[in-house]
Amino acid sequence: MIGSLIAIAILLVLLVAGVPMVAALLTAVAFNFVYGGQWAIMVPQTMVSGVSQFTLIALPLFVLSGVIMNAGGISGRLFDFAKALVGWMRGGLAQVNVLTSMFFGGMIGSSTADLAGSGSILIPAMKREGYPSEVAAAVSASSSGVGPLIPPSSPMILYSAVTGTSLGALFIAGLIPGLLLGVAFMLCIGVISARRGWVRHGAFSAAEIWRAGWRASLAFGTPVIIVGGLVLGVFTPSEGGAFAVVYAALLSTVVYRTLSLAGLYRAIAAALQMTGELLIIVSLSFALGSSLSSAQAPQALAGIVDAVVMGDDPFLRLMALMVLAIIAGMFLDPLIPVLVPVILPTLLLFDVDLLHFGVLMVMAVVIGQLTPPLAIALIITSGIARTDQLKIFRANMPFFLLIIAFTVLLMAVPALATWLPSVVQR
Amino acid sequence: MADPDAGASPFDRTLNRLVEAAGVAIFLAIVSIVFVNATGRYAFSSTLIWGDELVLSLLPWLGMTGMFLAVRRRAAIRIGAFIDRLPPGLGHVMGLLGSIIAAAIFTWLAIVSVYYMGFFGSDRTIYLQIQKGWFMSAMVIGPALAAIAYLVTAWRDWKAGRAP
Repeated sequence: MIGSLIAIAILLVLLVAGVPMVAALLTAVAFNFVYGGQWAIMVPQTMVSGVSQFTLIALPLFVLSGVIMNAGGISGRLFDFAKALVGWMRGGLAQVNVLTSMFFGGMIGSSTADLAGSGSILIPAMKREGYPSEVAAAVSASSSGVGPLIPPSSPMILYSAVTGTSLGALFIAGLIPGLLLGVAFMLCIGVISARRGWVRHGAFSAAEIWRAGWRASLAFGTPVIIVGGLVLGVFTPSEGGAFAVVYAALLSTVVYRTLSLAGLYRAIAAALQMTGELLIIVSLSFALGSSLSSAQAPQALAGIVDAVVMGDDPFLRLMALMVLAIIAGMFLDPLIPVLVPVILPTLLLFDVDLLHFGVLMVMAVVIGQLTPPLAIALIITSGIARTDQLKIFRANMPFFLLIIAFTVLLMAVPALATWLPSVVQR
Repeated sequence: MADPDAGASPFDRTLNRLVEAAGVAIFLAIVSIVFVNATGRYAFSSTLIWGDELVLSLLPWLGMTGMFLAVRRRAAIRIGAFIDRLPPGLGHVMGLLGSIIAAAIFTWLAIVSVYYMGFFGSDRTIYLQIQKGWFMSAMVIGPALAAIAYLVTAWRDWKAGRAP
């Protein structure tokens, strides 16, 4: 147990000191294995068995399909369609921002990829229409959080790989929360628009909706393939990822002709670099979880949680674990492969529904991406909007509070996440 | 898409592109096998029986090639929230220290993985009957190359007098 505490301390110190995350994790794992008297060769052995999972194949595949879609300029078509649908409303471009993120969420698995694709179009467009830079950046940063809830979702793939929870069930579990959060954002923007007197730009046009919808229609083939394939049980999430890659490549290179073969090669190379390190982090997270479990660390954590909540109330236990996850998410990205192996045995001890907690963990990831000091979403949007992160954080407060309230609602009403998978499984 | 090796020397560019080409080939193989297997199951009621085995065996290589490129292009995941706020001199030292720690621990992993390969490398995969050492070698070669890359990074930063 002392060895585990020292290992966690080593991990935290190295992370804070700016040591690359893979090296920090590896040092902590190596220490814990060696201190615990286990064979050192168990480190590479556990890493290989951790990374060699069929579920994990979905991660590079969905990242690749997203990168190809971005490189193929599909984000522009989605933006045009969203603009035709809601751009005529008060606060139109802010509404467009949310809707584009919801569309994007159904095609790519990460909020940062969404920001890179749609943020670079929408933030400058919002600034041109007179929105303050920090507001444009805040709306983009928050709305990108919808994406990881809607399948495919990189955080869910990582969670599934680490916990063994069905990835198909997780993807379906995120659908209702993702759509609800998107609608909540749009309502919030409606209220803010009315209070601040944001003017309308353009008018409703059914012809424009038809035209833009037709141009974007083939792009919607990706979510149809992914969600349809999963719901109908046609293929596994990993196979869905392969179909999404082939579809995105055909669409960009053959149908739209917006991506050359050289561009496709560069997209694959970019996806390789984005996911390679993540795969190694996941493999190390297995080794970390394994070494901590053998040192009885989860039992100690469970004891601490029970002491903090002063009892065994399931909701308070869940709340305590979520507070831990949210605080950790403010400092760690990726959060799930580092934290979940540590708390997984505790979740099992407390009989927490892993499907429900998976969706909550995605919310913790989203909150972490919006909260300093890490706040990767604020970093990206501040770069695009050329404004200060602190200003964006302040402008983002209404949406941030909405996300916190939504997370509490998700904790209190698990059926929001678990109902749809139970229906589909029947 | 922007050139990830912009400003790199011809040697660095060639090395990165070689590893990148290997990684892209592995990536394409994984996509193709998974796609062909899923399609074959429905269209022809037939799958490549060795498909999953090969795909899973290639994942460590995919991870290692991607990680090597991230290290070489200074895109490795790290938390900069604290170190980036330090005075430049201290930040520079911390950056150097981080690269040296990373090089040391990756060297350790490479050495331990040699023993791991020695124990299990001659085992064969179930369907293809290929020695597992071909795939396990990712755990030796990947960390060894990453260690060298971190040492080179540390050396260049020390000479340039700037933080990584």
